[in-house]
Amino acid sequence: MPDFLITDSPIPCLPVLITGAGTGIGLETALYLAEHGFQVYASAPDLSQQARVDAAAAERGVSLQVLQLDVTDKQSVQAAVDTIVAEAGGIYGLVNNAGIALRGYFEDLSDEEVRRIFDVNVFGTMAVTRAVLPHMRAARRGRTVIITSVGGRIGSLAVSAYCATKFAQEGFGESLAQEVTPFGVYVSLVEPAIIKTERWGVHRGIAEGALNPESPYYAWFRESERLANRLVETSPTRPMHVARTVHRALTARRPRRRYVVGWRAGLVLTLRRYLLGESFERLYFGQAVRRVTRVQGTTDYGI
Amino acid sequence: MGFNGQGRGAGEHPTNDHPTARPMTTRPTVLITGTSSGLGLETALYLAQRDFEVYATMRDLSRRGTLDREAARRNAHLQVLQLDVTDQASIQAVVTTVIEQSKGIYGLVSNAGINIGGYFEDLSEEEIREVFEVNLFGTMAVTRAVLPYMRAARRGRIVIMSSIGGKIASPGATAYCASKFALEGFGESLAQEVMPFGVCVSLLEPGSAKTELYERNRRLAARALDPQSPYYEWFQQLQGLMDQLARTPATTAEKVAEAAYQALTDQRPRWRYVVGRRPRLLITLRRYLPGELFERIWTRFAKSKIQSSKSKFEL
Repeated sequence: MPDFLITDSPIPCLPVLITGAGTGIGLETALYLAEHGFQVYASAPDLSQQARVDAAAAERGVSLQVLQLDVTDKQSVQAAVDTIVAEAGGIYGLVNNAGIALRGYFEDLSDEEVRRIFDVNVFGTMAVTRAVLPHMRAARRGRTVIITSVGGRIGSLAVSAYCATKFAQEGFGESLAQEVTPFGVYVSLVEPAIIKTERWGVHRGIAEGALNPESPYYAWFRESERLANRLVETSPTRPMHVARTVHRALTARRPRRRYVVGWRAGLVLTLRRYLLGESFERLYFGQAVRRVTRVQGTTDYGI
Repeated sequence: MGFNGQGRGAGEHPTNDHPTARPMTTRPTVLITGTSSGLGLETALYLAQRDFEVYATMRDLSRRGTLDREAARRNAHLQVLQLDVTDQASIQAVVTTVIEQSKGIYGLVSNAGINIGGYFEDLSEEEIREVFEVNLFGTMAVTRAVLPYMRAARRGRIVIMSSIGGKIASPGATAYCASKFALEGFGESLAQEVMPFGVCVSLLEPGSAKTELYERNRRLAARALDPQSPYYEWFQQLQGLMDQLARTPATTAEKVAEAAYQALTDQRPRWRYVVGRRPRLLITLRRYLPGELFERIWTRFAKSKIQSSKSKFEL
């Protein structure tokens, strides 16, 4: 790590808080950072996941601490941050990873479902960041990483609320970065491509209304889920790649504002950027819509 | 197929749904939110003068004076209704009224929005939520209420008032930028969902316009004015800079209204309409400058303008 910049610590043993570290990207990031010498506080909304995390840590031969932290509960956020500051004397890095998904065409999403995803992804990220920032400012250094998504740069059908939360995180991170850089605090956005995690199989967050055959979008939604499944199955991106990128954002001397994870995502974003005018929108989005709507009339195409 | 009839999207073919091409007896209906002042007011008048049957809505009808006066002066006919985008019942009531009177809604201009100035750490959670409540959830609620009618009619236009702040975020406007970014993501996704029904969604991205939202409705986070805040000095600087910008506004309300009109009438509406020369320049620079060069320049610029004043927490 040539550009590692740790001024007052002989070995890198800086405290890092990771939210949503019970599974998937969060867990992998926690383990990876622990392997690379960080003092990792892996937090999860409930401690039922602790045994799994501990087992995974033991298997990799690393030690990390597991904390209870529900990003939608201010008290639990404050308590977790206080614990870390008391133990470690501060917080060098925050990895805002906790997030949920919500799949379904906009008209099939209930107001409650939309609010719930904003509570976790946006207001949750803000709450933890707010609790941690004073300590970073006081230390005159710190790194805040927000795990957004390619969906924070490109909207897609059947994930409008999810994309809205990810776009919001992007806007928040971009504003915040400019506000706190003078204090030596850096904010980076990590944008992974669609990725295969446990979440995809177990609780990918399909809205209730999306499963109602009466919905005018029902057939299209099922087709879009089928296509998404295929995309996930063939995705070469792994949680490991995200973990490595987070490590880079935490250790680079001049961290980038954004890191895209996965070459496919990088390609799509580059195309969007450099194709003239709105040709990207017409081609890419037009194609997305055509692929989903051509099923009209088909009856069975199991998810 | 029945789908892909009108508007943008696959298998498109020219139709006669260009509103101005229709006989005057069936003027297309447009619902606009937040029309008591600024961009909404101007847009309502502009559309009413140009072949649209306009339902201009606002949260507080006691503030309709300016709109009424201007409408009379310009000889524009429009209906004014009370609608609070954070109140489901009032949205439903308005949509019902419009459907009863006009048998449909051709266009929605979701314009109602608020701003709150303040560095992130000076904003309370309640203040941030309030901004989202109006700008994002309000837009979603009105959109949800009108979409079934547009789908049924197999045509419709949804125009969402975003902002340059939905593309390029600035310091001291975290809540606003986050909510506008969210609108961008929402609009872009929604556009793909409803396109097959002949419904088009466009985002308007104006720069700072000299409107009342800035002049009179300027809202600041309570803590932003607290000299104890570590960001106090910078925020003061920023306010000065914003005042300066407001004196040379990037665009006029009329230009924004014109863009809304285009989004409602273009045969193939654009996904985004950037309004004003300054925002167009910034968005183009950001897009085509390599890597994160734009971000670095932009941050440095902000730093030199805002953080040049020495914070009392000297760095």
